Amino acid sequence: MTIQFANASLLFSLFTAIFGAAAALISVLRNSTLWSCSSRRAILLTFLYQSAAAGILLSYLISRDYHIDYVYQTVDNSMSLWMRIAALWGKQSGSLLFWSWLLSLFIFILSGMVRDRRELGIATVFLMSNLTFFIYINFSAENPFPRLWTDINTGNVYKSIAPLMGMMAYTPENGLGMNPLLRHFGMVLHPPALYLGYIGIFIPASLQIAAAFQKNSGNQWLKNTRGWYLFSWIFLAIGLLLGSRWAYDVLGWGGYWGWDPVEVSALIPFLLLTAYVHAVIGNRITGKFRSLVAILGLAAAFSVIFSTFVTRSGLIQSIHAFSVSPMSASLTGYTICFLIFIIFVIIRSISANVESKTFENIPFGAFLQTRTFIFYGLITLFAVISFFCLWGILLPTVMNLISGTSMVVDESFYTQSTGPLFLLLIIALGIYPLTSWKHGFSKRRLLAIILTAIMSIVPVLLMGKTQPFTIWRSLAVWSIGFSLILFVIDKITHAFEDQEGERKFRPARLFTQYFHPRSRLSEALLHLGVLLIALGIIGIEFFQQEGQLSLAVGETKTYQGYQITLAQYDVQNTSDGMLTESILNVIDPKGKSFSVHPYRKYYGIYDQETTIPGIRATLQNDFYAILMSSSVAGSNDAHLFTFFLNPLINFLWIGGWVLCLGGFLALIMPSLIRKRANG
Amino acid sequence: MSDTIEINPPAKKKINWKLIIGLAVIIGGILFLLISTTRNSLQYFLTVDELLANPGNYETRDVRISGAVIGDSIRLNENDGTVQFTIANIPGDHKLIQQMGGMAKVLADSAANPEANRLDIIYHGAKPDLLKNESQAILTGKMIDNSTFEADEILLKCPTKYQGAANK
Repeated sequence: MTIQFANASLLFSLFTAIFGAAAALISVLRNSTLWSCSSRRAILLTFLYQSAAAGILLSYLISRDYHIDYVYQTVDNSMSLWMRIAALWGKQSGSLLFWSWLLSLFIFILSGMVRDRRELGIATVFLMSNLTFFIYINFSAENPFPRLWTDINTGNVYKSIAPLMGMMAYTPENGLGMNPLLRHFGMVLHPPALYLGYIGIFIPASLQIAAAFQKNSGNQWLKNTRGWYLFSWIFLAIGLLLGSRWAYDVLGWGGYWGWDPVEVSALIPFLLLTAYVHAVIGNRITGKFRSLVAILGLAAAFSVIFSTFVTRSGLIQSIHAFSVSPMSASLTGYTICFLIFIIFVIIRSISANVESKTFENIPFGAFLQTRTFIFYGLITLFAVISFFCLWGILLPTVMNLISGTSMVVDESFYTQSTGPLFLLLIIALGIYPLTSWKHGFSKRRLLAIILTAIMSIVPVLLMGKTQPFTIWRSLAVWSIGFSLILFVIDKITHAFEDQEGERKFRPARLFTQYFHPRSRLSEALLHLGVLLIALGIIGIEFFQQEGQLSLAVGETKTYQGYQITLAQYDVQNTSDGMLTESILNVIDPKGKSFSVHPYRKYYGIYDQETTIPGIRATLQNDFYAILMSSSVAGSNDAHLFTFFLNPLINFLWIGGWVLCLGGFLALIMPSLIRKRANG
Repeated sequence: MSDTIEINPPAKKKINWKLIIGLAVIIGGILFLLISTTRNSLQYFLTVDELLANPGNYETRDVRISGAVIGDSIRLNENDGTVQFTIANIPGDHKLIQQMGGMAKVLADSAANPEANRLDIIYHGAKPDLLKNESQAILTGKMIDNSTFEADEILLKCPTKYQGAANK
């Protein structure tokens, strides 16, 4: 009964979503308060119906009711409560339900925040139409509610939501459960974090669309949408970070990013939103960048739809194993409609926002030294990197359409084409604090930049002592050194104060400089986060070392100055599979000893082997050990291990969290300050 | 207090050659980067059948191939850390695969079909967890002789197959 109620709720939410969109459209066309009220109620109802459907599915997952096919496919007896909750987004139909529930929640929140009837009306038409599409797919092609029924005579099992004539309810004793590779905190939280980021972007996009269709909307939409876009940006960052951490901990190849089309398609909205945030700041200060703000926000919103398309349509080859799904054709149509609409809105909003496009009357050479120019430059860089990413994803499909041959680009396309541009971004980030919006560099600042540029050769030379020089490696080390030094110099120079014509160093100002202006702290954290991430990436990309040793129990061998002893090697049968464990006692080149515990586990019911590395993390590097051989050889034989030394990798994770913290502060600071000013 | 800067009145229309040259250089640079990296990294994506039709063509340049992994063939060499296995041909066309009953079925049929063209693979590196019977292997590398392919990169996909208990 309950399951039919859940399915009916899903259907009713489809009706209320259609009605909500229609009522909103009528309220806009007729300027009617009554229809506007109707539309608001439809929004509330849609949210309630969606909550009922999602809540019921969740309760079945928690109580492990294997009569429901979705529960049977995603949960098993060994899974903990958290894993069972995470199963809600474990497969396509459930994650689609979770997705539309989140969207209905966000629309409901928005309807409480927007006062202007017309603005809310236009936004609702857009949002509810999108929601209608997702609910329709969820109800028809990707329904999570079918149950299992068995024919007593033949023993065949059938799927149906309603009871089948002459058949018995069938409830398996155990479910199939989640792939063991996905049972990691990173993988549990990675999808909802990305979803929050993806869906969060619909809200500001809808407000921006509303502004484009209103006369005299002014600049208010800019202020209304900023927070929402930033919200999306933060959750995309968290999602990407969790996904990388999962790959690093679980996949056992010492890497964190594979340039897979699905990963790349999640990176594009993040890059475009980063460009957007900078355009907003540039706009607030100089009054320029308005068209860019309009374009970048909507382009980021479209890239989310595109990303969904890449992940779910099955038309683009990817390790994320979604096959061609029934929603492929409708998703393609939807993506194309969305693109056409967004282009239309962009043209409308640009033609409505006439801005002064002339540069300030300063010499061209001086303009190149201003912060305005740096902002134009970095927005261009982000846009070009996004375009390269898009090119890499679409090229195989386009080539196939044009010439009929199957061609692909490999990972080297992404690293070679975007790598130099990322280095330029790092250099721009270094120079940025010394620039001003209005004029070129003062002589003192120019000198500081030149001296830093020379000083940054030192780390390159130090690197050359142990590693051979290559162009890109040297350039990468030079740029990160350059920008880190300038970052520190900027913070120190702000601790100087002019007093009676003298410049004096005030240690307290090392901390108090962040009190004013209010954005200085979040900006410092965000940029520090980026620099640390870059440091970690340069460390692992250019200096990772990999080697193999075979060790018998009790045997000691040396790898890169690390003395490694295989202390223990065990094979045992556990309740859910064969476990092969090892303990390595290691003495590092500085004489410190530690143990790591790499293991493999073979999950029989999934026919799935998992390789979990043993990691010893320090700021200098990660010692990352993988047990290569499975449980074939006896414990007296030699066992093969692969070792990675991943220099500076932990700066990537630390930088990631610093970045998210900075973003979070940027999000809440303005409202905190407003409250303090009011109270 | 506003931190907005007053914008100077628009200057008279004058062609800004420096700007145009600057933009041309930037666009040229971007196009150069795009075209050169695309040319460097573009690879043929072939089926086992296509590869074996002209194995000699692919000994000097990297290609990408796709096939069904045959579980019994997977061997791990403890001494040099190589993984050896055999893949069987699967069609390259999405639509054809759908017509044949979906990827999971095509992989299972190919792996079990002794008539299907097969190719031996050598891979230097850790054995990936998803390397198992009937998974789809997507490999990048070169032919080292007429029947052996040396892979530098390996990407594996396991289509979900839950048909065991629930036959529709």
